[in-house]
Amino acid sequence: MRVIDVSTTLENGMWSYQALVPAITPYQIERIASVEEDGWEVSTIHMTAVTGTYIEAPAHVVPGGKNIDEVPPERFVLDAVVLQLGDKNASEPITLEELEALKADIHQGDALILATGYDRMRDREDFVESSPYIEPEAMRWIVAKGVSLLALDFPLADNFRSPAGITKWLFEADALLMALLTNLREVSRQRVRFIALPLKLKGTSAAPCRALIIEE
Amino acid sequence: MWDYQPMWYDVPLYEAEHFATIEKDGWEGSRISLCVPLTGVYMVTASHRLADGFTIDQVDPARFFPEAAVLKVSPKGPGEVVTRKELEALGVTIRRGDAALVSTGWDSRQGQPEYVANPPYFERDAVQWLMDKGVSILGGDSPVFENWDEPQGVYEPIDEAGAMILAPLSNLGEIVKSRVKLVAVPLKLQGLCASPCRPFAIEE
Repeated sequence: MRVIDVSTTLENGMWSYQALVPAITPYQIERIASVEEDGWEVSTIHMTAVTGTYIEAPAHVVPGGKNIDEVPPERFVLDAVVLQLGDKNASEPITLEELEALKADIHQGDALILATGYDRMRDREDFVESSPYIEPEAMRWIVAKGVSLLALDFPLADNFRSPAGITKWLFEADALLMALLTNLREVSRQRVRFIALPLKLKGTSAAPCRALIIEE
Repeated sequence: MWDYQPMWYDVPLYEAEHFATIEKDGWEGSRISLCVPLTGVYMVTASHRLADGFTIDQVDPARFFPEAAVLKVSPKGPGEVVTRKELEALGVTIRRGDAALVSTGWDSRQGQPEYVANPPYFERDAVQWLMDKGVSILGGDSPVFENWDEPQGVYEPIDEAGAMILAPLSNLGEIVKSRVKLVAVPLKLQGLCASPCRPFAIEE
């Protein structure tokens, strides 16, 4: 069994969606007590629900949709298909043709993981605005496959410059959306086990999570 | 939710704030602040107590979904002790690398004053016995494992063994089998001693 950690580390100074939405404050650690002074370590962490590697539930954009605490835990431990796409650079689209060309066997209820290598750019200032994106035809194909969760190694599913509203299609189909994965190039198989466990935050549409791929 | 605040720090342990709503903004956005390790269910490492202890982001992810031995002792009241003798008497198989989930029923007291102030605790020898068996994660349903009145250093054997604590768990009483699969995956919080996490037990 091989375990690949595909989550990003939460640390001060890491990337955030603040460039998109000023109200999204970056991840911050505040030390409350230290082993040296107090005999133990205690910290407070401040973050938005979409920090690092996170899962979003339909309530993100669908009125009356499920919040993250309402999603049953079976949906966080699942079979997954990893599609190794070519390396994507700034603002490059993911097309229906390249998804189809991989001839993957995707089952209803699987997680679908798209690997583009774009996470390597996450220290760049325009990381979020220049995200690769999924073309509408490609997203229709993904939704039609009946995937339970779509996971990305780039920060925006939709075209930042000309949004087509494609994330809503996913949520309207009761699927979950997950970003930002890392290390996906280390995955050698197409079909894997996927553990992606968000915190059980009551009444929020998203939560940070740890994501692991298991090659059995 | 319940918290340790009456006993320790004057800091908010968990706060959530909606800064965007579907009605107003077309999407929902929230901000949270939480205290590590003192919020909800957490996994905590030796660096909570030792300056040179390992931190949560350094733990091998293969340790987050071990086999687990479920040890159901008789229901414990306030300030009662879990002993080595009663753990041994259960006769549950414990293998090296396992998690041990000790169920005392104390989670039923969540929200009551004694939940944090006067929980059941572990006899040091009970913890030592589990560590000698090679337990990698010690899970319990009490928010404190130590005897507050007469501390016996129950955390020392855990730190010496390089094991971790997963607490305070709920619903252990609902587990039917004595051996299960545990999935307990913390966030990868750089340099911190612990992380909140959302564990579950799988009966296969």
